Amino acid sequence: MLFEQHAPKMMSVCLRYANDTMEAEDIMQEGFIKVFQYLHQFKFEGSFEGWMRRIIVNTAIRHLEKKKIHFKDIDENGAEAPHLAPYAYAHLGQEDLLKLISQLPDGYRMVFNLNVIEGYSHDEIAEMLKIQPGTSRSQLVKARKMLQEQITQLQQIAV
Amino acid sequence: MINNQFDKFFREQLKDHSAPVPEGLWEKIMPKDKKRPTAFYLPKKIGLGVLIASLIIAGLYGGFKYEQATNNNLVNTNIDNNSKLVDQNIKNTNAEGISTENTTIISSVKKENNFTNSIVANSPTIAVQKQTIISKSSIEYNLTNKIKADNYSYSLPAKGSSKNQTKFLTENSINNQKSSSATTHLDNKDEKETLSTLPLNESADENYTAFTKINPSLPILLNISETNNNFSLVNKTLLYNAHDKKIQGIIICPNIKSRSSFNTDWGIELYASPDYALKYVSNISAPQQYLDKKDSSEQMQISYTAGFRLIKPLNNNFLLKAGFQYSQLNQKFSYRNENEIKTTTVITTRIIIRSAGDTILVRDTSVLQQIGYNIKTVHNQFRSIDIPVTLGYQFGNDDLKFGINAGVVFNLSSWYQGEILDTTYASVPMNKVSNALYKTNIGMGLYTSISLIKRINDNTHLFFEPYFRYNLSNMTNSVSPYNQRFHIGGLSVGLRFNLNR
Repeated sequence: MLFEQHAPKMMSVCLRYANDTMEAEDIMQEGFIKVFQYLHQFKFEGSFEGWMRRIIVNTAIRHLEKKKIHFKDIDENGAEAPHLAPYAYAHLGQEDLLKLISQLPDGYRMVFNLNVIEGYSHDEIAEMLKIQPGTSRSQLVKARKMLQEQITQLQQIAV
Repeated sequence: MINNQFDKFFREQLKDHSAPVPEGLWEKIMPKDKKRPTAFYLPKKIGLGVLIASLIIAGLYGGFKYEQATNNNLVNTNIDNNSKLVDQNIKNTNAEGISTENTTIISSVKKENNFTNSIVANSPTIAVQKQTIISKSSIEYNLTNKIKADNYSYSLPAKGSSKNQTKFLTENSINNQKSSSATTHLDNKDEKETLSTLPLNESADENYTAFTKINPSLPILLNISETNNNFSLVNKTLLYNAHDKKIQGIIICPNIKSRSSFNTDWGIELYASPDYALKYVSNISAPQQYLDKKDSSEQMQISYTAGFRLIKPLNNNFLLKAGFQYSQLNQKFSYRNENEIKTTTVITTRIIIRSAGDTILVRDTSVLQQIGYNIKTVHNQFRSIDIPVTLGYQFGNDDLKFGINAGVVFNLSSWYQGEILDTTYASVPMNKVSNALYKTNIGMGLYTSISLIKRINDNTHLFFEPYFRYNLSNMTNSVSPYNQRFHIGGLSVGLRFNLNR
């Protein structure tokens, strides 16, 4: 069954974009309704999972747009990330990473997900979110910095 | 660089991550996607098929009942008229020249037909005997009397006929004669009814009560009294085998079915058929160029069907059939693969003899690449397992029968095997397991056929049955950018065996 086969992965996508589980469920429900609604438009160009993932991501973007997300530009030069070594975060599991992402502000989280996880370019993200490409870049830098700071804090707590 | 590693770590960890789906989420989605009534539900197309099939079956059943009612019409008349016939006087006419062949015997056997005859034998006025006839079997003979004389009596002369021959009048047509005891001699053959002689037949059924027992040495004139003022056709019905072995000299109407090769019991048909499928494709969202390319790459070929059907005759004309069959539709898939690169490695070996007298072995390796196209041909198969259920009407004689059949074919399982063209014009293999485009059950189809049945012997018939199967559902599923279905025509050739012989 289509839902049973793809729902876990899509739920993970929803959780990455949503603030909490309830919001993720709403996105998931809305997204799957669209999937079934536009199922006949799938043209076998690429994988079906990729097509479905795009619908879910778009649904998440449209859902979060309603919350009037403000993307604040920051000075890239003034925002230096701690530059963590790989061993500093290699021990983190998937659930830890999801938790870290969910603590990001909406704008950071969305750009980070779209660029790093989904692989969209900044130009594509700018078009999708109706922002400037530079804004997308700056959001990503800040998101990355915040994540690295959080990981550093986790290390300090662990020590 | 460090950021790349950081991003890569997140991407690898979360790209294919799965999270548990909250319970009840599907129920929230399903009502909007697949909202179905909780009561009896049939998919739209299957429902339409069931409706059409029901109409066909209802029509055939109506025809069957109408025919049955028509056949019973005379029988019903008999019941009314025979109830009035009490104490019929039978007088000895000693009619000269009335031979056995002149005796009119019309039998119409019906269920539970009770009537009373009084027979006066061996004298002009002979004692009257009441006889009760109980008949059981279905219709045997219906012969129409054509009586022109004013007064009619039916003479069953034993005189001059063979010994122990006894006859019955089973159906009489009587003129509007008010005389309650009129007696008429059948002097003129031309004015008499259609005459026939019914041979004796033995029946093992002892539950039937014998009717008239007559001294075969006596000539008999059966005089029928009529109480009805109107001209009426009086049917005296005798069952063809309604007699008791214990009673000698009894008259038995022949069992017309005893000579028939048709068995009202179960039968079985084994058949095979060469088929040809008509492909029907309709577009949903695929580019027209793709459909054209797909259509030109696929060519239907001769296919086949084989199976068996059990037959349950409802009566002499109507048959109910249900069975099990396997179908395989063959399709030739040819496509041209452009930019096919053929690489040939050439190794040249040379031996060089130098001036010093030694030899050197030299091997030169070169690669030759040819760019062209490759035409690939694959034979696709669409297989299905079905249950055909049909209702048929057949007519004709014992040796040759014709029939028309209609019904439905329920698909149990179907699968596609081979290769198809996808929307990127690449060949994609399809098989029973990895089949995302075609359904595993194509639902129901309508079936209609005409049949020609030739008798080989009492138990076996050879039949030829051209048929057409119209599938109601598409074979493609909902993710397909186009709809495709096959309609199949073929000629079934097979043998029909009577069971329970």
